[in-house]
Amino acid sequence: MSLKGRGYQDCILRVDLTNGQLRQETWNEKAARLLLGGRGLGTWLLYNEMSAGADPLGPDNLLVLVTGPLTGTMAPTAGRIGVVTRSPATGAILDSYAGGYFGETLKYAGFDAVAIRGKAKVPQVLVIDNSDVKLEPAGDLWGADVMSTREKLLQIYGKDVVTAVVGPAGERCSPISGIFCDTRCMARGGGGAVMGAKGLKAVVIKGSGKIRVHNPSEFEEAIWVANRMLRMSTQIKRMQLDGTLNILELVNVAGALPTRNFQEGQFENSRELWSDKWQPNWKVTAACHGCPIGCTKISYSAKRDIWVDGPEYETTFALGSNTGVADRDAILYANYLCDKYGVDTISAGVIVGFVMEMFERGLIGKDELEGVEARFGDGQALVDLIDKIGSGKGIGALLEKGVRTISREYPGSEDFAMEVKGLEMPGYLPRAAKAVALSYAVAERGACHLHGSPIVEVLGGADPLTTDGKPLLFKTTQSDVAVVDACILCYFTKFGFTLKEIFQMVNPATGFEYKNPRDLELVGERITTLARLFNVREGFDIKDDRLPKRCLEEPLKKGPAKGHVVELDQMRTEYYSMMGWDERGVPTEEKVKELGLDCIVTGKPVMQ
Amino acid sequence: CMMACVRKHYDGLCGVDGARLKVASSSLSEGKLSHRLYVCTACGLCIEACPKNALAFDEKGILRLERKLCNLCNECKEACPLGVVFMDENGYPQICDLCGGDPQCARWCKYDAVIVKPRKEVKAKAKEGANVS
Repeated sequence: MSLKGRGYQDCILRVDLTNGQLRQETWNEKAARLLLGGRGLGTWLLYNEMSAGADPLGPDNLLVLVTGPLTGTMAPTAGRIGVVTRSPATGAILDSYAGGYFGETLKYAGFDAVAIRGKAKVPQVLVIDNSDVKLEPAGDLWGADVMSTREKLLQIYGKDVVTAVVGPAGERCSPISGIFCDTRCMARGGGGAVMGAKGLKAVVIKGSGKIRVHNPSEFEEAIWVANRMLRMSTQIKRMQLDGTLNILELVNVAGALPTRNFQEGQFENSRELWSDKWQPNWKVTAACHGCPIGCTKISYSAKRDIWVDGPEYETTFALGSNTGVADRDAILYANYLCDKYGVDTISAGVIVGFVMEMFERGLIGKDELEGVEARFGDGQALVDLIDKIGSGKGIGALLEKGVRTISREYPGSEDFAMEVKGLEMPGYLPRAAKAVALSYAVAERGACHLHGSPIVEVLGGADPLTTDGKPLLFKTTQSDVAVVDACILCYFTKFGFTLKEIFQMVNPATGFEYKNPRDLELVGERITTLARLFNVREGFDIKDDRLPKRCLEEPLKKGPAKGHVVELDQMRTEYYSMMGWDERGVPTEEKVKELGLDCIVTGKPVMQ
Repeated sequence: CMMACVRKHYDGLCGVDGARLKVASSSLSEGKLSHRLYVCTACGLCIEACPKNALAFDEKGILRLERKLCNLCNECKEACPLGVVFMDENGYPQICDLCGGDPQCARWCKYDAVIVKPRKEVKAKAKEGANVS
């Protein structure tokens, strides 16, 4: 039975950049019921169609832009886009998402996903005008920065197109480069490098179609309930008023704000980074498509005459507390540079923090850093280093490769290279938040707060310092978030509604008749397990589900989490056991069968 | 708001193309990022401009198009100060009909940006070409 008219467009656009071939095909209902879409669809395609050992920067890596059955409907926050591919930074499976308008426009153009393989001889732009799809040479767009590229694309293709572009960092295959959709970004894990390696500069879409859901009136009732719950949430209200920065003061109070390369959990100058201090710069508040939360803050700096979508909480921790810098002008400008070159602010900031610690310990010198005295708290050093990392020039060519690669050149520094699997850590100090610590260690794409990290534990929802019950807490949030990434909705909805409200929307949209929210939780578990199977095939196991020595053996010297380290072993063992995986973290055959994955993980696409 | 309009006029479908109001954004490259909402204020200029008298307010004050009289001349679209007359695939004007009395855009807006007001208040302002949305 066709998926069209049940939230889906039931159309995957296949692009082969090597020979320029474009074709369209349907998905299949069996896989859709088991994996829903979004991250589920992307992971399924990657698992079935790639072989182990494919070079992330080679033609056999699959880059999939994904949407879910709710994308483009009136479900709240349903305008997001995702990318699923093999990461050049980690070698593991990568999925990353962005808000904005790209997701729903792809659906309105008639597609659930775009699956891209191969490698273009000459840089290309993929142009989608509803059903009319073509590849055009990128010409002098290649080499242009992110903002200029977008401006030129609007001039060429019209003001009403939406775009996804890579900047110079992506063209150069920087492992920390992202894919930029207007002012939003699929930042983490080097998705930009995969696009750059394929010679794909941009994707441009015009979409004027419409989406049908299975039961519109029941769907509307469910949406109304979900919206009401968002409206009643105080945390959502804080997001609206103060943007994502609203949590900075809370995380600092909990002692979990990474400071000076994750050495401490409280930043003495954190007050300078609260939302109210940024307010004079905020000129525009905006929302992504269909979002009732509206957390976007657009800043303007008169001093530099620059506009920046941000800074977000994660950017402010990475470029601010993590480097010891409280100079808002420097942080904003560094954010701007990251956006211009097209790199992830989290990874870039953690690299700077790492370099600063190496400098202060005498492991790297001013000459090697081309004159930069990389001291914690120095805003100019922050800007200079970000410029080197973003441009890849000089020492930047090494620095942009990430803290794991840098640490291999400087023996002894691995102990404080804050990464897991090669992905730099985001904004919560593991020693002060034990469930988050577990999630950093085991998340499939590397150190990540968005694959089920129970951030709620530093926002008052649990005792962050105990390990009791944390594996179960994490397992639950991990499934929930996997479902959010399958629909695709925004993580912030979790501050307002639960899996139950999502279940009440998914059923009338798709007509799948899941019996209760537990069925959706199984969808989430299935997606996590399939992603793990991909990683296992690439050689990942318990040795990679680790944390740096700083987290395991350096007790915090002060703050609310004073004396704490992360008791990873016991949490990880309990988590594997709950997931039905063996002691190496490999899903057992029984578990794979129990989840129904065995009928779709033969390595070949399932025939209907 | 645009999705709510489409939902009402396209039998429950989800989309933004075909909405009878619009949110227009200017981008950073044009000097600033801003967005404005353009929605029909029932100013009546389209009615005055129509050479065939195909447009009129009915007894409830809702704008109606008599398709048989319409000659697809686009004068209504030219006359609209807010740019909220959109042509359908056959060239006929689609103009806000207040959803028959229960405007869906206002119902769905989460930010109180679209609100329903008595007509007299906005009529004069709209004639001056001001964006009263």
